[in-house]
Amino acid sequence: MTLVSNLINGISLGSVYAIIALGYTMVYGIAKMLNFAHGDVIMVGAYISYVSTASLNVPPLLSVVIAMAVCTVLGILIEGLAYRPLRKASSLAVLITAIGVSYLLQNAALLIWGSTPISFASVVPFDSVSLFGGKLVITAESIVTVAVSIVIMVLLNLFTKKGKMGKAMRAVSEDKDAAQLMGINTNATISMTFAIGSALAAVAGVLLCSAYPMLTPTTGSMPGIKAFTAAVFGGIGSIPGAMLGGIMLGVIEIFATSYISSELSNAILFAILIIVLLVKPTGLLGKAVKEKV
Amino acid sequence: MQILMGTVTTAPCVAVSAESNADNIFTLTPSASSTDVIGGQPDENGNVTIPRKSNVFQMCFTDPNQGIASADYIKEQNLGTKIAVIYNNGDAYSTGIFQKFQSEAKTLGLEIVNVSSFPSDDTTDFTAQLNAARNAGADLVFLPIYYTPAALILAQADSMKYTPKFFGVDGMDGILGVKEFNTSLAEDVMLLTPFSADAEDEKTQNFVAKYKEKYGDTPNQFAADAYDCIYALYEACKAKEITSDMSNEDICSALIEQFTDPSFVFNGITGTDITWKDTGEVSKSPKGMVIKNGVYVGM
Repeated sequence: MTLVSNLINGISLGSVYAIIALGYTMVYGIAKMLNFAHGDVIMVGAYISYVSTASLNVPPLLSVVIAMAVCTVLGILIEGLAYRPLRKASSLAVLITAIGVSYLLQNAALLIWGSTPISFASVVPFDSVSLFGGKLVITAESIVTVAVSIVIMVLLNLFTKKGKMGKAMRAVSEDKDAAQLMGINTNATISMTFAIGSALAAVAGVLLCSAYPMLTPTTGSMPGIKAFTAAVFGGIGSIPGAMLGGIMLGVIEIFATSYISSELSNAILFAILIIVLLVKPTGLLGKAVKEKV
Repeated sequence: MQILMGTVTTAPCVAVSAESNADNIFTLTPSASSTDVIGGQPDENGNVTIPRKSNVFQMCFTDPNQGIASADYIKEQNLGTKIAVIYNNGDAYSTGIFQKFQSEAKTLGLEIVNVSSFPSDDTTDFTAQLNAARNAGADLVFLPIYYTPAALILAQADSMKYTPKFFGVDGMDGILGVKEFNTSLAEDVMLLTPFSADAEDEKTQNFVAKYKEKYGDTPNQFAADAYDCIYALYEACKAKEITSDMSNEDICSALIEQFTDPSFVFNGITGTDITWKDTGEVSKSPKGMVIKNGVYVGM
């Protein structure tokens, strides 16, 4: 029963990583950049949801919508102000800028909301489910997180495969210049990618803080790094890969803590990442793309 | 700078106290509790890796003392028979308390059924650690950690419907100050802390009232220790007739003399008859507190 319980906890934690990883992977897949500020957009989303429920008395579900709207605008702003001017610059410059944006968001949050941790009230209105006479308890947050992450993955996959905008995204992803020649507005497409990624970040932030109710200005950073790892693990750029990577990472983390050593859980996690990348450098579901010379 | 009152926590204080030692600036830290702050303490192999920084004194208990006091308290009050520990192995404070707790528990014959850890205070998921404690049949979980992870542990234990007794140390103080915290989660949580805002003596009442007026919040032990530091320094300076035109070296040696003088006894809000040893450690008695209806009550 402990095994099942650990497995469920792992999948639940992994689903949060997966939603965050979807944001990383989308932006990387299309704009070919690592948006390290993604983890901090999550934190902003959680704060917006908190402020709307606590100060403006908005119902929890509506607060999620508000958080998504604010984060969408924030995502477009970050892209437009910080990344767009660097479109032709080296990828290293973009990476450093992303780290800068990450610190900017953390410190802005520190100024606005202070360093006092906030105990985040769950937006999930159900109670935990007790099975086998209380031996196995599944929290409502885990169920909702897993369900939401699956729905998001399916929708995103459909969106990029079927819709017109999705096709444009894939075209930009394959060859930015050629896409532009074919009449695709690459800037608008990349903005759209950031908008979707940031809206997802808001959902992830609210779910993360509902399951683990502690909100501080650095709440997003560690899950952000782990989710980035998950995205690489699953094959960065691949949507099902991010999902698979996220869930596997969550399960490995909980199992390593339970059965091997709680002291070494992070070390084991990253050791597995290194091994996977040595054996399969593109990640579990990543495609090997030949570079044109 | 002539005298330093700081820093708040251990990790920065280890760095800062090395500098203040080099510059001969008298340092009294309110709440940096590791023995690395004062130096001169042997590790488990009996080696002194950090020599005594003679200018550094503490207002709070050292980590080993807290670990020992916690084990003693649990034994004396018969609070639990099967004990689990969850500590932060990336943090000197938490690890320090845990190690002393473990060896003292062994001496006292307390049974530790499970020990698990987590790597940093950013950790979000504690379900594996709590599952391990529950499976080991622990009826008391000792949490030598800060209140941020502790609040998460309490919330996750609650949603897992695991209800052992929880016992914390002074880092747990502050948990009731977390915004929007559901205090019912902390009901019956016990902790050893030198300060209670509900104490009825006049000094504490005055301090709490003034603090509330100024900051709109109830002070915790971090605030109280800092408050005591300032008054301890004030009394010591008065006794040695220290004036602002003296050099920091002269102030430092005068204050060291005063603080190590056995006749220098300080009465504050974190304890009465407080004295200091040559080692820089404070000597005062910890108070056992239990949280009832969102406030500390003496045990």
